[in-house]
Amino acid sequence: MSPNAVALEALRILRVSICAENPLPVVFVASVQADDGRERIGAGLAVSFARGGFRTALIDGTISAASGLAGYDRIPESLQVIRPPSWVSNDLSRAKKFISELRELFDAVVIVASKSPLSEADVQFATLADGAVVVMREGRKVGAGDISLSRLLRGVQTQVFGVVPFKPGTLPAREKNDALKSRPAVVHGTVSRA
Amino acid sequence: MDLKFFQRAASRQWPIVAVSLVIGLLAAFFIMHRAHSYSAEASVVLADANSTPSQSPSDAAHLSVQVVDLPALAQSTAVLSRVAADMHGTATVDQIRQHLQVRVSQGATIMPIVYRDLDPKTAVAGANAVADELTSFDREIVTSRFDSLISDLRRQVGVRKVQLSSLDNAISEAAIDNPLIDAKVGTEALNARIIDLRTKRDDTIALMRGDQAGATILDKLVQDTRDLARKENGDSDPVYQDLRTQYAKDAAQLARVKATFSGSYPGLAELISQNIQEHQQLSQAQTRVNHISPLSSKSYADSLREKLIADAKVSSDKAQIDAYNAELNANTGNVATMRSANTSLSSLRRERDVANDAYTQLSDRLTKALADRAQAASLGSIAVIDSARTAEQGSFSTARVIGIACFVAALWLGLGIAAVLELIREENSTEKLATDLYDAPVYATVRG
Repeated sequence: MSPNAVALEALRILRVSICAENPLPVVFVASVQADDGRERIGAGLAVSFARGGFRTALIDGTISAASGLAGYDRIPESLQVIRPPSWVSNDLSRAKKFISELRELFDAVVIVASKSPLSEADVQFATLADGAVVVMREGRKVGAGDISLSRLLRGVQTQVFGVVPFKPGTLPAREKNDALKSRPAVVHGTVSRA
Repeated sequence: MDLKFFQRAASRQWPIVAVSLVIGLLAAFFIMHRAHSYSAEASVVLADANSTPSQSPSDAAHLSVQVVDLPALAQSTAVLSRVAADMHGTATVDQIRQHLQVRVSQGATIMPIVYRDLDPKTAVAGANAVADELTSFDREIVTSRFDSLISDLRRQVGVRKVQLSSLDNAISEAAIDNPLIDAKVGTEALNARIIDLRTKRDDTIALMRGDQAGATILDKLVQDTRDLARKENGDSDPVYQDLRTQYAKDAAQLARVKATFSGSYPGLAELISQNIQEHQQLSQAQTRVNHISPLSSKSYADSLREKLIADAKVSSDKAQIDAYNAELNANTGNVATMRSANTSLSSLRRERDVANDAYTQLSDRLTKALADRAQAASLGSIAVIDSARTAEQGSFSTARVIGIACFVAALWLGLGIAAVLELIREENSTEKLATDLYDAPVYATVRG
């Protein structure tokens, strides 16, 4: 079993446990530090949803929208990467509308936090999500950032589905991922069907 | 805590388990190896620690080796190096020490010496060699301490001998310088002689004074006799007598004329002139008579002879007194010299007496130490009472059971330590802390 397969199996277990409580979940993926691996886990979780038959949207607030998907040889057609509109951070009602549209269009939505610590838009997404997955780089000790994040998530009443340790460095380089280049374009500002 | 936990603990803490297994294997191997080896036992009897070979507490109270020290002494490098030599170098000192077991119980008087080896003959030889060398070394310790004391005493006796010889030489030299010093009566004889000389000198002085008085009287007599002798010479000279008679007559006539007649009496001048002339003649005759030796007088000659005899006696007395004084001075000087020499000699003799006493005491102590050493060498503090003759092999079946038990115990010990460490690790792990913090499960690590 390749490392990739092991990772997918672990993420599949995570996806199953999430779906046990929320059949059509909106999952917010956050981390305390920038290099904890939230992009990889978020992308992997989205791939897992997509491979499980879910129409999946991967909301990636970072500059490289598809960076988390690097290294996956086969990306299902049901997975779309969506860059969130800029006005989301300023308008909670619009953000709610945005998420509602996503719920209508997709079976599962994976939102990857744009920053560590969380930005204002990330906090709004966390508030609107059904739950959160916290990513920790393997070997890192639990620190003050974790305490702040846990307090923040409790403050916005976001359930934590689980904590996923992440060990980077076993997947192929990002440049080799050509699959995503053929994917449908991401619609900025609005959501449209792929 | 189930079997999986132990599996997890063993896999995660495998170095602990591995070390425990190695220790268990070594212990089992050691026990079974010892079971294969032979052990031989020799016994030595320990003397009473309170008994000493000497009754003198000052010299020998510390000489015996304490019983509790004997095991350490038996395993000392000094003893074991001799044992190694006895065993012809078949084992090193460290190997012998590992094979050797010496223990003494509290209050026991017999100390077993056990030697183990794979070869039964070597085991027997080792046990006997250790017992013999221990006994020999212990005896050497006791006697060597006496040897030190004896050597010191001999050195001191030698020093005293040299001192006595030096003092004897000094006394002899003092006696040679003054022969009278060596005679105890020398001073007394000199003193008696001085007293005698003083008495004789005093007597002679008294005699001399008497002779001097006699000489003085005789001198006066000689003076007196000399005037008489001169008168006799004048009386016996007719010319002188005639001149004196004539002068007397003329002088009487002149006096009568002067008394009877005046100065104008004729013939007075002639009388006076005649009288003067006669007086001159008489003076000349007187001078001539006076120049006649009084020795012609017998009485004068007799008195003069007696005076000379008296003067000779006085001179003789003076000479004798001078001789006495010279001898007295010499004897007095001798006495002074003898007193000084006797003083130093007495000091030398006192020093010699002191040195002689010290020499005698040291000699007595040396004799006693030699006797004590001989006694200690003959008695010793320990002795071999039972030499090893055969070697016995340990029970292998029992050792095997014990070895397996040790292995199992080590294995359980290793697993236990691993489990405890795993519990501690899990309790303080990131997963546990994260679970508590986020109140959510921690999933398996995703690698990618």
